[in-house]
Amino acid sequence: MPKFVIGRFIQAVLTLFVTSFAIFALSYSSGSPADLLLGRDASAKERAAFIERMGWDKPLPVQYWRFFTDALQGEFGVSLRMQEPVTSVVGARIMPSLKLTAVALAITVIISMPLGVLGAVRRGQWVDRAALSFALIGQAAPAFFLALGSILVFAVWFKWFPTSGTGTWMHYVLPGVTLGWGISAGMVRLLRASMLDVLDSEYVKLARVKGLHEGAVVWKHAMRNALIPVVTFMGYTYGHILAAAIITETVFAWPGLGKLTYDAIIWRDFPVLQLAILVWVSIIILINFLVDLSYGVMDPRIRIGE
Amino acid sequence: MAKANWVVSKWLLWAPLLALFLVAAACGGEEETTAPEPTEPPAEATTAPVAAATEAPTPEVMTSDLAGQLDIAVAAFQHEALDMAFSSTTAKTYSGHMFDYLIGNLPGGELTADRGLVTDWTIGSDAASLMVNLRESVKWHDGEEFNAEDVAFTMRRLGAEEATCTFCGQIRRRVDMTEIIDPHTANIVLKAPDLTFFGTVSSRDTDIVMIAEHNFQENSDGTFTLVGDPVGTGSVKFVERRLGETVDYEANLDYWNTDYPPTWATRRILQLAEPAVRLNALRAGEVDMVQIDSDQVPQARDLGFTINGPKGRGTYLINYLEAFRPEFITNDLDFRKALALAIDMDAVVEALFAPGTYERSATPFWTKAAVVGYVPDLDPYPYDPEEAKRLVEASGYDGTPLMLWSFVQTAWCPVCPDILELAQGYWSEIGVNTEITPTDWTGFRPNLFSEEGFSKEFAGHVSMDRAPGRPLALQNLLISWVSHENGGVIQAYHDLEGVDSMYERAGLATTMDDLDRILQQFNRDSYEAYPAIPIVQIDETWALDPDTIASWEPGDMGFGHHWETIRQVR
Repeated sequence: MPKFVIGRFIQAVLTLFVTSFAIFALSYSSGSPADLLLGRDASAKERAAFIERMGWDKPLPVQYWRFFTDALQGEFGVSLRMQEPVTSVVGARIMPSLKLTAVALAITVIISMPLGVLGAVRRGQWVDRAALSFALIGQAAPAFFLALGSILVFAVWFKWFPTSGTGTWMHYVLPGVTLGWGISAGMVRLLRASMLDVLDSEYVKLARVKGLHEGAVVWKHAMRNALIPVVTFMGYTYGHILAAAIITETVFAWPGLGKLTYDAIIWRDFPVLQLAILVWVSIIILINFLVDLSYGVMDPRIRIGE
Repeated sequence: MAKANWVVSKWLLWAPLLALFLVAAACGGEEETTAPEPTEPPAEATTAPVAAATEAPTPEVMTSDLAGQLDIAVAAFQHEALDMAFSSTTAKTYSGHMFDYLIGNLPGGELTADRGLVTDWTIGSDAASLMVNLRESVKWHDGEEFNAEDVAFTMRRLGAEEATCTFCGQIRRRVDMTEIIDPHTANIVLKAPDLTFFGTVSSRDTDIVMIAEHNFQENSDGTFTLVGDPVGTGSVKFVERRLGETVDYEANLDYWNTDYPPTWATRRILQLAEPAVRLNALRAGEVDMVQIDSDQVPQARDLGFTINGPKGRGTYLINYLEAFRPEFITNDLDFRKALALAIDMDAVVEALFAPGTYERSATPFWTKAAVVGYVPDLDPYPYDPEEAKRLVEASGYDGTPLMLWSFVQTAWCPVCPDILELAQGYWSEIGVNTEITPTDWTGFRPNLFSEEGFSKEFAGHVSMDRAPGRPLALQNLLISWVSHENGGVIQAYHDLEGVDSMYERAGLATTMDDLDRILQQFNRDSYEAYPAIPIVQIDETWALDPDTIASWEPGDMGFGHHWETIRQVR
């Protein structure tokens, strides 16, 4: 176990390092923030002077080294757009994003687990088809369409929920459903397929032959094994949820990391972009690490193998 | 597989309950961000919406019995900076409205001392200075007195090397020093004569607000740091902000301009990026006014909302980049004229803009009578495709494609790519080949300053442009047409020597009449030379809830919104 943890830690550090350089190089190649920060009437001389003052005329490796050494000391600079410390700008957006994605995952579970199990248990019946269709709609419909549609129906017509923003639990519903519904399709199908596979296995047949209650067969014996690929998928999906959250956060004016990253790209706010991406990557690395750890909990064979 | 008898089991019950618990845990502990409690119950709204007032409202007695929160949804906070040295003209809706300007403007666009911090101003006889006499009754939001030292500090702070506000560069280039004559008199001395500098400190033309010296700390490296919350002299005071979400203000009950006292207890600005969401928020009653796109105007009208907004906010045109180079076909008058006559511009603007929110332009920058150099008897170029075809042939065009640079400057020109694509279609009808390069401003701008210039592999280069409505005109000319040597940026004029010469003459004018004469002549001459394709002058469009907002005088041209004129329905 310690070897596993150390190994994963080293992998994480390398991933962060490579990611930070890649983002640095790509973002600096997309145009200078000077052109957005300075007025349109800035002359070539003024533009060059500004770029020199900000150190953006230095070779890319030199700029990266400065960023890297500062980052090691926890210094990520100041947002070019907002003139606030990057750590506080990004820091303020992490929890809203994590909360929204947690809600989205929870909604995904609420939708997917019953539908996936029902689909497997009632295979070929109308319940199965309805479950798959419901999930497919969420997968096929673009996120912005779901978002705008839900706002129109539930916020404007019915006035059940607010249109946007944060503040109360009601603000989580529409963006959470928008995000979660889109992800649930893959999970429903995966859980259904996994359950079908497991329900056909010999040990399940043995459990039934032994006279166990069907509920116990499904939920105690079959489900646990069927969950293994689903948990992997959830870990993998978390990255997608974070990415999809950009659209949801923009539409719902949710003050999360996704919207911040989008704004940072538009404004060439490099310091914010760097830290925001690094935080994203760190979250995904952590999630995948937890997923790997959870295998041991779910599957004793993995623990024994270790 | 044996048929399963499905029954409700603890797992099917517990899994969703567990998920719901996670949801509740995630959502729990949130602070409700409700509007501040009004000091007294709001008055019942009157029934009929009132059209925007055309006269100044009756002065109201300043009272602490203000009630209600004005919620305004904007598309973007832009620079989202509280230090105005890092703000911009487009960010005036975020923080600019808590400040005042030296010189104000009337709703019709005329500059006036009445709505500014000066009682009067005097341009020096050599146009190289601007003397301002300040009001004596003005206080900052923290109670400190506004005086000439603040004017001097403002010029120093906004002219600092680090300052990037839209007109900070102008201050840096033009202002030499500020003499403090007495506590309420300052003389801004310029580096060179500039008859129009007074516009640079006006609410209409710039983002140069007055900032408090005691609100900043000067660092050892010559930079400045905002100390504490920002303080202004405006009708609202800063309360707090949540980055990316909201910024809150409260009424300044000691506001010096008793003609426009605050009528709302608090004001909240929200950022809602998506246009449909903004309109839906208005429909749901969550906000009182929202910025809308032109194509949303008919829907907003049908829903019963009042449409209002600053008039003549911008003018769209098609530029011929580096047309002064003889190797580009756009240097040829026949070809430029052909491109202009080929487009049915009336049809284009009707397709893209809502009725009542635009006016066709005859010239790129002289779009209203308020603009210096305006000539009233010039008409928009006609649509004449047959003549256009003839002119293309006459020009000797050989079929080499024109490059069309299609870019969106953040929220500045959302329909620019559409206009260019429509133009492309019209030009292909007259035999002009084109290629479009989609890009954005940061990708495009470096081309303007490259030593090689634009690629000679193309017959010429064309781009859309949006110029702000500037009554003093010279700034637009400088940015779009004047040469780099004279401080220009885009250099999209076919006769660089001619426009530079005009610009220099205009800079030497010592009276506004002289300036008007010089620009009028240039306007007439350039009109005949088809230097660009003027398209439309547009208004900024906002939808207002008539049940809460009685009136608003947003103003004509320039950058101001004049939210201090928004009146609550009582």
